[in-house]
Amino acid sequence: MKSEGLRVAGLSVHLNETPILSDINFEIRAGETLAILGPSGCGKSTLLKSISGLVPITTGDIFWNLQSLLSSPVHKRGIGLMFQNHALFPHKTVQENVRFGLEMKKIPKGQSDDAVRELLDLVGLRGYESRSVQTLSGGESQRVALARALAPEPKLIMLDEPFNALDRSLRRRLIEEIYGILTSLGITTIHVTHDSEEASQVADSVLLMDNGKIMDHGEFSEVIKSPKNAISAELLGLQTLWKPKLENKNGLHGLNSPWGYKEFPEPTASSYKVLVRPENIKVDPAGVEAVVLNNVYISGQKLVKCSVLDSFSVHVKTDEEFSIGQSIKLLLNLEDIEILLEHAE
Amino acid sequence: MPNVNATVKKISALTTVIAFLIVSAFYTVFYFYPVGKVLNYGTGFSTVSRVFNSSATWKVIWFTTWQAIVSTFISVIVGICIANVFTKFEFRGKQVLKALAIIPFVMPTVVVATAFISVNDFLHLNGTPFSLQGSTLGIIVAHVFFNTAIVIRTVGSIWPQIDFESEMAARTLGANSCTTFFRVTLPQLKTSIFASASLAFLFTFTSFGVILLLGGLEKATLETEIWRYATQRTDFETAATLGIIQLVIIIIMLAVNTRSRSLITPAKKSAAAYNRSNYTNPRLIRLRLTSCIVFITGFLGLPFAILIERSLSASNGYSFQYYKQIFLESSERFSIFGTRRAIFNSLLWASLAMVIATILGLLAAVLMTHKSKKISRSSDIFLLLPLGTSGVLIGFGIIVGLNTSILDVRSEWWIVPVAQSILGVGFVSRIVSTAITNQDPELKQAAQTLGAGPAKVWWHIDMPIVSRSLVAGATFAFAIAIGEFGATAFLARPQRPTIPTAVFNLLGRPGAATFGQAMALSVILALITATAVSLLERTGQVVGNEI
Repeated sequence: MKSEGLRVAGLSVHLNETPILSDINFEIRAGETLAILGPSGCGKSTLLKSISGLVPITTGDIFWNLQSLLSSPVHKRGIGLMFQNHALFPHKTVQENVRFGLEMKKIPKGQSDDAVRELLDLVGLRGYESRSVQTLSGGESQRVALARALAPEPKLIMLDEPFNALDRSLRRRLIEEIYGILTSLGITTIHVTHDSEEASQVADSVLLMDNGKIMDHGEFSEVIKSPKNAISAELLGLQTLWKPKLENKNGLHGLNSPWGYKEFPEPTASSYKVLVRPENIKVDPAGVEAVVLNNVYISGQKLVKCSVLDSFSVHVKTDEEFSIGQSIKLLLNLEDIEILLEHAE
Repeated sequence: MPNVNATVKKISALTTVIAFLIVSAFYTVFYFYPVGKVLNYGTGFSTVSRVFNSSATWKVIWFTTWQAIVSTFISVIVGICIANVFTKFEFRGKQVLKALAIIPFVMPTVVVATAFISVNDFLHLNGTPFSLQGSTLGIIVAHVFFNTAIVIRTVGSIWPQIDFESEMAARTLGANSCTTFFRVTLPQLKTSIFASASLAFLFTFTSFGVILLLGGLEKATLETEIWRYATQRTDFETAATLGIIQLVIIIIMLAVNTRSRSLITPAKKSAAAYNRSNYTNPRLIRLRLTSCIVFITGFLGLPFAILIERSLSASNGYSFQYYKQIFLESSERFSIFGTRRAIFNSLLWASLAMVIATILGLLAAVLMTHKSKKISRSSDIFLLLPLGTSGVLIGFGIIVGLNTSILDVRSEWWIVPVAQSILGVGFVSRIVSTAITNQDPELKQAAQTLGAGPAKVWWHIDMPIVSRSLVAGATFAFAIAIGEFGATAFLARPQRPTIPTAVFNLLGRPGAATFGQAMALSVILALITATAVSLLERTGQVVGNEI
């Protein structure tokens, strides 16, 4: 079962002797969706392009169902790529764009016409056949790009930050529409994004990248429950992270927090960050002194940002109303303080 | 504020009226009236039927057309290959190579022709099937030499704007690199290829210096025939009819060019700037780069190198003997060509032509960028025709047109710079108006929100853009004027030569000394032009796209 699907093994890409990707290893089972999450410039797009064969890889291998793809040129790999800016052919109509991949497979016109019609139906663009792609809105272009990428029936489709430039409501609608289609077709998908919320909506598993390397990889729920390091936590959008002051008691490192002393798990590691999840902090008269800095709303949830003893700030999940500058008291159980390595090992 | 706005409006209206009066007066007297006279001469029924019934006419039309088509076709193919290398690869020395590739475009025809004559002489090609003198091959090679630069410039400026991701998308959809080029890249370059091809066709169709110097007597085109009929056979009617045929074809090609240029729309910018070298097989990069470098240095650079070598190669080894003869004119024999006088005349007249072209070009740009679409559009068309008309037709027009008792200016010395400036006005107005039109309107709005009134906006925002493009236009006008040969061949009297006419006269005489002087004089002309062009490059103005 494990061999069905895509396997990337020890992949590295150097451009002009600068390493862009280093030792990338992961697998996706056929029919599943993997989200690749990482900041701009971390090598996400290069990874997709090297899988599709557009960027030559320096070392490593790429397998589909145990067969190496390296000897196949781009146009013979059967891997679809939906570009961030859609990359529609400006000199062709909607229909001609979608038909392009079918023409490359030398599918007879009558048959390809039917396929194009079906695909345009699927993406809700029936009637747009002879429209110039330059007259389309962002969402429409998006759907044409998807229909075009799906037309040659790729074994794997890769979406490179597909919803980047779209407003939130359109993004939500398109995610539903597009993933409805992809799920119904059972296509293996890689979805690149820098938005953790988007990643959680679309993917079974997630791969976190930073600086050309994999930071973390696994089921979304697992990765978010116990991130491997501080960079992963930040990529996942976890809110309250700070660098603690180190203390040494009886030869062991530890954190002396306002809520009590907590020992470090591995005293040899050089650098740590502290993660406290907003839902674990309570407003309570028995707590520690804090000052309200501002109120933020993330995905409709209210978080209050507070400065604790003037030394660090935390986000608190609460429905209560506080004014800026107001003094409140915050309570936190020591076991809810998570200590993470600052960098990847 | 209303008072300030009213004053600005008044000044603007007054400027438009003045610009219109001066520009239209200039063009009416020195272009439309003379060309109208040619039409009048050439449309007599008996002349037209005689010209069209003569097989010689059809032979000339056929040769003019086919040599232009072949030259254009080769230029387009070669130009696309080089533009491809410039677009796709980053390499050391790219800027130098790019500048080298553009130089032939601005070189005077006489310099290019003498460069190939020198190659012919150096490689002893005379009498062989590869002879570049008195042969169609020479004409085509010289035209390709010129026009490749137009294609590189026009296509090369559009190519990087094509969304590279659309090419990558085609590859992921199953297209191989060849199919991707023909199905995705080429269609997006189509309009720029048409634009440059129509321009290249126009230049080769109306080419004069190259045909006259390299083609000799046997290889006649419409342009050289107009000149021959007018100056050697004094058959003005036939010359005028041939001129009309040429004008009709020019108008058609200008229409194609204008239409193609209007269809060039900058592609939606790809968010990521790609270094395309990273996406190509390194072996292919080396192959393409090497062929590009060999072509540019070999085909485009070598003729100039040989021209310099020939100019220094005297009977007693390498020396500056021919240069000395040009400047000293010590020997009685050489003085009849007035080489020193020619240099002085060329510099003076080209400078005057530059001044006229700059002033009138700026006024024309005022009309071309007018808020009213009617005014801007009609002045654009009105000014396009002189830009496409050949120098020979303009010179001929002045000879047959401005000979009335009031307006007999044909033998005045200043008619040469005036004629030379007609083309220049077109170029200056186009360069300046394009700079103004392409200006980001938000720049002005930003200045206004920062407290700048109309005058300050003009001074701080418009002025720097206009002045930069004006310097570029003026330099270009100078380069055109100093190398102008067609109109000058009609208008410059033998006792008042310019460098191109002196080179032509020198090459018409036998002997190593006159040949050497012609080469040396060409080198001087090339140096003056190259200096002007390097100034042009320094202004950072992309000339060539406006043209």
